[in-house]
Amino acid sequence: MIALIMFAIVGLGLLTGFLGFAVGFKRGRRGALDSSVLTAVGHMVRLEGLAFPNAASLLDDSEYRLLISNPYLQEVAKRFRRERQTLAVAWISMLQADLKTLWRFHRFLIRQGAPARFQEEFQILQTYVLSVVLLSMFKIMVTTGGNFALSRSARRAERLVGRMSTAVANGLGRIPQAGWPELERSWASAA
Amino acid sequence: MSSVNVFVLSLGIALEVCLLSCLLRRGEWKVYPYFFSFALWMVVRSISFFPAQRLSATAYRNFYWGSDTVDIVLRFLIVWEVFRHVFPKDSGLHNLAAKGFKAVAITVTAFAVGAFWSYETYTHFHSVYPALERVFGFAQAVLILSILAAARYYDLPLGRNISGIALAFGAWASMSTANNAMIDLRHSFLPYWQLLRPLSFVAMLGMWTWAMWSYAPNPRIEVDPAADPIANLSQWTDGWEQATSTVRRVIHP
Repeated sequence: MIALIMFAIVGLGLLTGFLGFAVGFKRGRRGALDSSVLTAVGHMVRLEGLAFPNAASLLDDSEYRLLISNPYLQEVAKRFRRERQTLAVAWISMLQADLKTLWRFHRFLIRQGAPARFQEEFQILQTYVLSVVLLSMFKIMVTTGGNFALSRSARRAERLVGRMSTAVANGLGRIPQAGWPELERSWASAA
Repeated sequence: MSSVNVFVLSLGIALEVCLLSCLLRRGEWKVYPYFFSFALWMVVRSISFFPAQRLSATAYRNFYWGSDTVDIVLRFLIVWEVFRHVFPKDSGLHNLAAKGFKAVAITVTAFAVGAFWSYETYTHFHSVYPALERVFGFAQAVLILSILAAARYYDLPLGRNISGIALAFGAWASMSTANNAMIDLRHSFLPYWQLLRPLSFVAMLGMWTWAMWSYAPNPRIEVDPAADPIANLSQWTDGWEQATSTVRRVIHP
């Protein structure tokens, strides 16, 4: 009985999935052409979240503690905290955008013929999903609770993004250098 | 056989013949040989139902379900046809996709066989054929959905032919899975479920005929020759190295 109910539900779920694909196919091609995520090569070279030089100090609370310890500077400390919070949220958003760009670029490389292993692909997808979830949670936490208490989590999140970047770099490294110009053309046209 | 059933069967045969002629008229059967084989099988099977009605009830039932069992197995040809066109051998993705496809195929087949064996343990008696239909329909739907998901993941462009075949077959196989489960679940709606199956099959044939009406294979990925590749690649490589080294510096200051 349970198996029958399960098959009925799963069958309907699969049907919904196919209907979703049917709708997606109509929208998908247009969306892919207009997508701002497949950015031009100029954007690829500057991953803003990763290139930000003072990410660690952004989440470091030592300056805040210094300011708050002085009774005359408590207002300044509060303003400092608010500004840092805004900056931290902006930085996390940039990290998320970088992550998405890296992920899409990795898929682009594989589509262009870069050799890849199934396990590696699965791992990249897993890392991407985990990173997105973690960063989203982190962003909510920073927005609601402030950024200084979460510096360790931020480093973890960034490590995940770093793992992604290394994996994509490995993918590019496996393409013979002779094929790079053609790859470059395709990436630019996809953008 | 009721007049509704005769109408649905005749409409089905008309669509099957139409589909077959679409495949034959421009030699598309050479491009889609597995799909063509299945379409040919469908026509032969459907036409053979008319003389088979002269058989005794038991012989007709055996013929119907026997040919249906062959049909279930042959449906895997469609899955393979979709796979080989979405990930052709000359594509860089073929090996990667083949490994993933094998993994999914082994998993769902093992699950399907297990689920089919367990049908005997149900509290009430259930027919073997709906069980066979739903477990293999499930496996085929999952396989097709996996192929489509992988194609979407890598932004692979799909033509009208393959997307039409895959979507119509996948939707029908999903519906068949749910339908055959509901048939065994509660018999009071049996007349409706029995009608839904041929109607959904005719709908699938209609979509296949639409998909194969014109030759529209999967398009190739476009390359823009106007881009300045060397300068851009060099710029990208510099930026890439800068980004990864920044991450390392932040993690290990």
